[in-house]
Amino acid sequence: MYEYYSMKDSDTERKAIKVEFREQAYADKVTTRIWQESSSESNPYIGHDVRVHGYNYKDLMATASFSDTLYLMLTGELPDKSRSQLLERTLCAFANVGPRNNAVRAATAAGVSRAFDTHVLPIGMLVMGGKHQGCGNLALAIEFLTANVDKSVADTLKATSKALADIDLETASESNPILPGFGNYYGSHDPLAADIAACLLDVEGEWKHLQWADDFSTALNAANSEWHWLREGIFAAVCCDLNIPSVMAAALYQLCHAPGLIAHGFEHAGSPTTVLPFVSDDNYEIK
Amino acid sequence: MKLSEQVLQASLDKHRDKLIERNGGWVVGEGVFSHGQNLLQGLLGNKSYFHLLILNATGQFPEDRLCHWLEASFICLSWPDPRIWCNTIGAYGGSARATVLASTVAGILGSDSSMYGTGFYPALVKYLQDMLKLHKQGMSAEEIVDQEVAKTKGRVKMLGFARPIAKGDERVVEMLAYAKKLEFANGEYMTLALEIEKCLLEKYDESLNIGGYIACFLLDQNFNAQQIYNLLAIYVNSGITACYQAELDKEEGHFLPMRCDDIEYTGPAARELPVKS
Repeated sequence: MYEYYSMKDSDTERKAIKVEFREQAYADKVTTRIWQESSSESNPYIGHDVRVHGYNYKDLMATASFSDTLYLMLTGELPDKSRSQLLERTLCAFANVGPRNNAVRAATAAGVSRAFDTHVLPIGMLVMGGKHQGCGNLALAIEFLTANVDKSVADTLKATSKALADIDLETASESNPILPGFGNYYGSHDPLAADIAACLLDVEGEWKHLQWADDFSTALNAANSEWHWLREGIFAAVCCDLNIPSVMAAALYQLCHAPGLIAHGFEHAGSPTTVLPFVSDDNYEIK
Repeated sequence: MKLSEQVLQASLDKHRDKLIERNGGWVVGEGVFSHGQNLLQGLLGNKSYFHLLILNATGQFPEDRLCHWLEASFICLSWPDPRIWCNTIGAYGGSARATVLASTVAGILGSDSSMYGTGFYPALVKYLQDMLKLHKQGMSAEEIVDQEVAKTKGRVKMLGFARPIAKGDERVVEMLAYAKKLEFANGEYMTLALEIEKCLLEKYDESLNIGGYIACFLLDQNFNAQQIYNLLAIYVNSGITACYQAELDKEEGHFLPMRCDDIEYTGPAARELPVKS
């Protein structure tokens, strides 16, 4: 079973197994439940009569909205009217976070410094994957909501009160969240997050997670005036209520922010680099 | 204004329009510095790129043999084989005629993975630290193996041991020998890892993998989890570029091209769109 390798200049011998492929059955073909196409008779690489989750793609193009098509891609079904409206509003609400966000600034820096046009959006999206004012903790926020949505807000608050009491609220960081999806924004509350939440809760429908998170945010704020839900927390609740698979949530968050990343990223493209501030030597301090 | 708000604002204001307490930078007219080292008039021509890589990643100026070791470990992780996932991404980039940077960076990002590559090092380091803690509390290597394998229903899923695709790891053999040649002694992490490996070999025919070896070695050099993550951030890059270039040398779109019937559709049958009310 084993081959023995002599260690060079070594007193000992280390037993090591011979390297060989594992016996694993790999798939013969790629499978997909999303995309179906027929092969052209004259060229087997050309596809036609495309269907997406069973629907004719040409009909989708002609009649479905972008948000409905997106929902179909992610979940396999078209949304009902209320879900369609909730997703549409979410896409609008999260389309831009403004030019002070790290991801947007990264895209802007790329645009101004003449990064190739194909790279600006991915650069912004990658930074948007961070845990501070990004979607790096979205999976944790979904986990938190899923674990607590069937409990009373009071019980969850009681269960988390010790952790909240123990942390130093002045240095509490989004990168290491106590309550994923909830916290403070620059030490205070985020008025835009409140506006987004109100706008989304205004959509007619049964939004169990959104409603619970809103109630929890209110209770949390009453118990500790500096904590509310964060934009990521709102997005997590939307994903839960729309049955978006949690593994796709961060990618959807990045996609939602694409319009703002593109707009700000290219806003100054073509301008001289002096269009952005440059830190002077006087304000640059080496330890 | 509440106290925490005041404190945070004061901290943020301190950094507005200023870059303070930097580890290095370009002092125009004087030179470029990193952690006190002068890049152009000190390192250039005297030290290797790996000295700078370690310095920038950890803040520590390394001895020469550590640079040789790290360079060797990079060779172990940059294979020009497009069947390895990060290299596959680079090859698709070449086939699609994306730029070399887009393709290589995309491949590197692919290796920021919880299964292989660089992304799993933070979890791996934590795991090895936990194992050493258990060992110091009196658990033998064999008891650790029994405990961990029992958690995964008899399958070896211990981080740093076993390996996807193949069994055994030829890179560990070579790196152990090279470290010996460089006169690095095994520290407490490596010693425990080799004891665990001995048990795994006897009971399950599995061994230490290159990730486990590298993490143990760097932990024994007293680097922390973030420093290790930093050091290895791009270590797959060269293999990806090789796979990118191999596709660039061919006709475009020739990396494992697919006919329509190479895809098996498993979704719902054809259906009509609902009529909008």
